[in-house]
Amino acid sequence: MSGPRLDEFARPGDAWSRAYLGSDFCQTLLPAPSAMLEAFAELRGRAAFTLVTPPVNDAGLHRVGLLLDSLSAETAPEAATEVVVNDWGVLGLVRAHPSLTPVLGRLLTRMLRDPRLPAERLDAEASSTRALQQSSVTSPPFQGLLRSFGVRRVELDPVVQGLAMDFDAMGLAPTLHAPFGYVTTGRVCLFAAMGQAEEHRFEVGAPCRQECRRFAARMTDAAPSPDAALITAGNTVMQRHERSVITRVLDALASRDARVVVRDAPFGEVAWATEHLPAATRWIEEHVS
Amino acid sequence: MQDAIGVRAPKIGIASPLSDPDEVELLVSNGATEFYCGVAPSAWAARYGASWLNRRSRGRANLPSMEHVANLVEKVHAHGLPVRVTLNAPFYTGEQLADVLALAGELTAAGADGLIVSDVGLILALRERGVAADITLSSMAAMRNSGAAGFFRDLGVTRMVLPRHVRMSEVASLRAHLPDVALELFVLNDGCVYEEGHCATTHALGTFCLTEWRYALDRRDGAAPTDDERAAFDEAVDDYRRWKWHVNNCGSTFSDRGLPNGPCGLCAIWDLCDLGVSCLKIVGRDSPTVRKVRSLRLVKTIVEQVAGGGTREAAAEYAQGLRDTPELCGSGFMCYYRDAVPTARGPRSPAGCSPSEP
Repeated sequence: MSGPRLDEFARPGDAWSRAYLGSDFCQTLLPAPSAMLEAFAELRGRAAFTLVTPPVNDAGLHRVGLLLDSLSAETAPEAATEVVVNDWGVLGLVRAHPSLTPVLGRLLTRMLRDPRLPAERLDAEASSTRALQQSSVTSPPFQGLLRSFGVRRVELDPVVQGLAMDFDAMGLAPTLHAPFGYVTTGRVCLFAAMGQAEEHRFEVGAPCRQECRRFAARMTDAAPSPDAALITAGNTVMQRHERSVITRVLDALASRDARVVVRDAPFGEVAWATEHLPAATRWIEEHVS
Repeated sequence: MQDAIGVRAPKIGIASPLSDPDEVELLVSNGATEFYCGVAPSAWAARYGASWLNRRSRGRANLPSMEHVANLVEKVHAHGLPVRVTLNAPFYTGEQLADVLALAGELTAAGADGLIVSDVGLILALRERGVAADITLSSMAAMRNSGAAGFFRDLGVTRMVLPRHVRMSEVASLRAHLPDVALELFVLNDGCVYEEGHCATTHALGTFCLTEWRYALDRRDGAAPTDDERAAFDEAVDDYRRWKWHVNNCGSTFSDRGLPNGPCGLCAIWDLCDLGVSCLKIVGRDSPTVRKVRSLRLVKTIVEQVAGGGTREAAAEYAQGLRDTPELCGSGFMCYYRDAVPTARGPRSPAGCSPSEP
C-alpha cells in the first residue's frame, strides 16, 4: 500500500481549512512520496497541508527525509505547510527545510493520558492535580528549546483529568485532537501478527502487511472496568472520549490560537483541522455523544 | 555456575539495579561493574502523588531518603565503582522542575556519579544550572535513530540507554553513525508490552498493559469480519497473551536451575560486544536480591565466555544451555534481540570485548 487517500475522511465543511495526512505512531505507515504529493496537489488552493510523522529508526529517518525533500520542493513559505514531529531526530530534519513549519506531536507533548485516572476525586487546588493536568511543555527550558527549533504549535489529546496550562503565556499555540486520544503505543503490533509467520510475531520491526488498515478492535476489561471506550488501532491504544471531556478540555485551552483536529476513526490517517472553534464545537456536538 | 566465571574483566560493563545498601557486597562479588538506583523522598510523593519522581516508585524499587543514597554511594565507591541515580519520569512540569533540580543537586552532593534522565527540559536545566553530574539518557526517551542521538549528544548527554524494543541492526546503525556516543543496552528481565517512553499510563494505577483485555474485532470498512478473519485474529490474540506472559518475566518464574526467566538478550551479548556497546543493563530495582544476583551471574558468565574468544554461535549456545529452558528460548518471545540470530562469523573475540586487566 502506498498510503492514505484524502477521500478516506471527507472535509467536514469550509471552516476546516487544513488537512492532516499520516500516522503519529507507526513508521510502517509512512506514506510514499507519490501518495503524499498527490494529496498535497489535491489540496492546493483549497486547504493547507500537515504531514504527520511517527517515531522512526535510521531507515525511517531516511524515508522521512525523502518526504520532506519532496514536500519542501513543492511548497511555498506562504502555504504554511506543517510537519508534525514525534521524534527529536525528525525535528532536526525539519529544521533543514525552512519552508516547512514544525509542530510538536502528541508523543513529545508528554503528559498522562491514562483513562483510569479518577478525575472525579481530584482536588482541583492540589499540586498533585496540576501535575496531572500539565505537560512537558510547561517547563521553561523545554519552551526555550522549542523556540530555538521554530516550534510554535503543540498537539494535545483530551484527557479525563482536564488541562491546566496557559498557552498564551507560554507563547505556544495548542492543537486538540478529538474525539480519539492516544493512551499508549509501541513497536509490537497485535494486528501485524495476523499476517506474520509464527516466528516473527511480536518481533520488533518484522515485515508487516498493514492489517491495521483493514481491522481494529474494541477492548474491554475482563474485570469491572472504568467507563473507557478503548480501541486497539494498529500498534496503539486509543480512547474515544466523551463530549463532556472534550468540551471541558477545549474550554480550558482558552487560547486565541487554539486548533481542533478531528478524525472519524481511531485509525484514521486523514484528519481535518480548524481554528474556527464554533465549527469545531458544532462537529463535536453532532458526532460525539 | 560460579566456576564458569573467568578471572579477566571484559571492557563491557554490567549495570546492576540496586535498592538496598546491604546488597552492594553481594552484587559486586557476582559481577556488577556499576550500579543504578532510585530515590523516592516522601516530600515528593506527598506533593505530587501519582506523578512519580522516577519510572519505578512502587514498593522497594527506591531508596527512601538522601541519607540512604549517601550511605549506598559510600559503599559502592569503596569498591571503586560508580552509581547513577534515576530521575527518569517521562516528563516534569514547570512547577516540578525546581524540585527535581534541588534533588539533583542533593544527589550530586551525596556523591552520585551520574543521573539517568529522559525529560528534555530537565536535561537542559541541569546543563544551564551547571549541576556537575554526567547525564545518561534513560530508555524512557525512546531514542532510536542517529538524528535523535545527535540531538541528545548536543544537549550534553554522555551515555544513552536504548529502548527495550530495538533491533540489533538499529544498534549497529547508531554505532556506525555516532561512534563517539556510549550506548547501554537492555540484556535481562522486565519487558514492556508497549514502548515505555511513549506510554502515557502510570504504574501508580496498576500495570495497564498486563490487563487481560477482551477484544472485539471490527473491519474498517464497516463490514462484518469473516470467519477466517476472526479465526486469524483470535489466534493472534492467543499468541499475544502468551507473548505478554513472557514479557512479564514468564510470570516471575525461575528455571529449574534457579535462573530467572523473562526478557533476555544473553544470546546477543557477542554482537553487543562486537558493536562496542559500553554497558549491559540488568533490569529490576524492585526485584528481590536473589533475582539480581542470579541475573548478574548469568550475564557475567556469558560476557566472560565471549571475552574468552568463543564464537558467536558458541556464546549463544552456551547462553541457552545455562538456563536450559528450550521451550522458552525456542518461542523467541523472551528475546530482547530476536534478529540477533547467530551465524558463522569466525572464531574471534568481538572488538568491544577484548579482555583487559582487572
